[in-house]
Amino acid sequence: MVNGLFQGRDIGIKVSDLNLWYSTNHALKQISIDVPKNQVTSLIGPSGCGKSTFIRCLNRMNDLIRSCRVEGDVVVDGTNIYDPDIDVVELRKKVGMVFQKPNPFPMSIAENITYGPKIHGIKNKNELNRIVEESLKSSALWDEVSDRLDKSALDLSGGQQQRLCIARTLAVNPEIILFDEPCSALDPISTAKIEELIMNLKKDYTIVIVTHNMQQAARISDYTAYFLHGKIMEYGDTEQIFENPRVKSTEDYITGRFG
Amino acid sequence: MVRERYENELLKLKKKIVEMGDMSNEVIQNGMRSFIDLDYELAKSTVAMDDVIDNKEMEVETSVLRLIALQQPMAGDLRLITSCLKISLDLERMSDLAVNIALLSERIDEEHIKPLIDTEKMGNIAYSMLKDSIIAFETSDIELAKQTAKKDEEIDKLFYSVWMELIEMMSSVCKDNSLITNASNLLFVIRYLERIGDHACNICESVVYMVTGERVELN
Repeated sequence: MVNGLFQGRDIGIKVSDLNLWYSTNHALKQISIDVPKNQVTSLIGPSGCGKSTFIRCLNRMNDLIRSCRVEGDVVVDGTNIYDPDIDVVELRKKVGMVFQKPNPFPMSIAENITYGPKIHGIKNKNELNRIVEESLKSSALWDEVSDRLDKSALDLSGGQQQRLCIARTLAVNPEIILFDEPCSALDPISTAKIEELIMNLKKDYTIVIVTHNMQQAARISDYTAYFLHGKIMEYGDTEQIFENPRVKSTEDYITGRFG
Repeated sequence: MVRERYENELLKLKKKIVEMGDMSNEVIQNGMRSFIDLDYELAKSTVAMDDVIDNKEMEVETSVLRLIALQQPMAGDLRLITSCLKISLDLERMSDLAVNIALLSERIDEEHIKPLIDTEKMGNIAYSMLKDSIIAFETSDIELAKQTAKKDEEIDKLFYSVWMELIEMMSSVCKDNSLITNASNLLFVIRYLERIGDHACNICESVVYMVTGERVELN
């Protein structure tokens, strides 16, 4: 950890001594990292380095994998999310996730948004309508779909579907949003829209993003962590990481010499 | 190696700067020699080198633009590439100044007013500074770069002492000390203005390139 990296910033996620095994494969080794609140933190590294495994630890998505074992602390709002009495559904409301491939439910646009709030007990129609409009406005999709909210979400373009998935995440009012390569299946215009959106969302949310696109990480994130072989090799200010990395393997990776 | 073509392009760019450094060095040496010896033939061939160096600068610029546009360089690579662009501009300006020195040899009436000992020393220091700065670039030797930059103090000292000596020489014939001081200061001012004009022309040329993609010589 670089001294003074987060001077004066609140910490959104505090990870300490995190280790993860898939059966006997030690996939994450002694990860300790502070993720600052209301900032964009990107995770980069070659395929298989552990960055997606790591981001999935932040809302316990790895619980779904039978052979997976996790040790260490991930503290959000003063609570270790790996405590046995944690309600995982509540956790995933607080820590939302957007995946590589847009995955809208086979329902209408509005129903995609209201699905989460309904699960969490919101029944009032006006309230649900308000959530639909607010979420779609925050995800910069409202102007494109406001006249066809009852149409199938599957008819939207890939970029629109991805923004709908972001709106769906926002609808349950999370604190943290995890993005796992959110633009890798999108064209350049849709990518630009998502990037713009992520930069706007950070004023209200803490954002962690996994990306294979170095320029994207450099453009949108405030802090960058470089993963290799299940370890964090370097973590710092994005500008410093991309202009003057201190670790040779970071430089080799971001300049495309391996990975 | 993962990006072999890219690596080769970077190596070629570095090599171009080293070649351009060698050429600029030759121009500076020959420019000084032609001025000291009042060798008009050498002055002529020195002036002719100007176009060769201008072309080399354009080659560097083209390589830099291609690398940035096609390879999205990062970190040390990006620093190398942008430094190459800046160094090529400096080399081009240095060569221009050396060509100006060669051109001045034709303006000297019959012989120099004094033996050009310190002036030659200044030329030698400038020459060795350029040589070492290019070695520092080639070998990424920051210590050498720092040591080389320190030699600028010697040039500055010599500049001041030659300037004072010239004022004294002129005073001895003219007697009006303040007139000579003011006139020589004015000489510098007009020289600086002339250089500013040259740089403004370069900006105009860049604007034409920026808008049309055509490279023009406006100066």
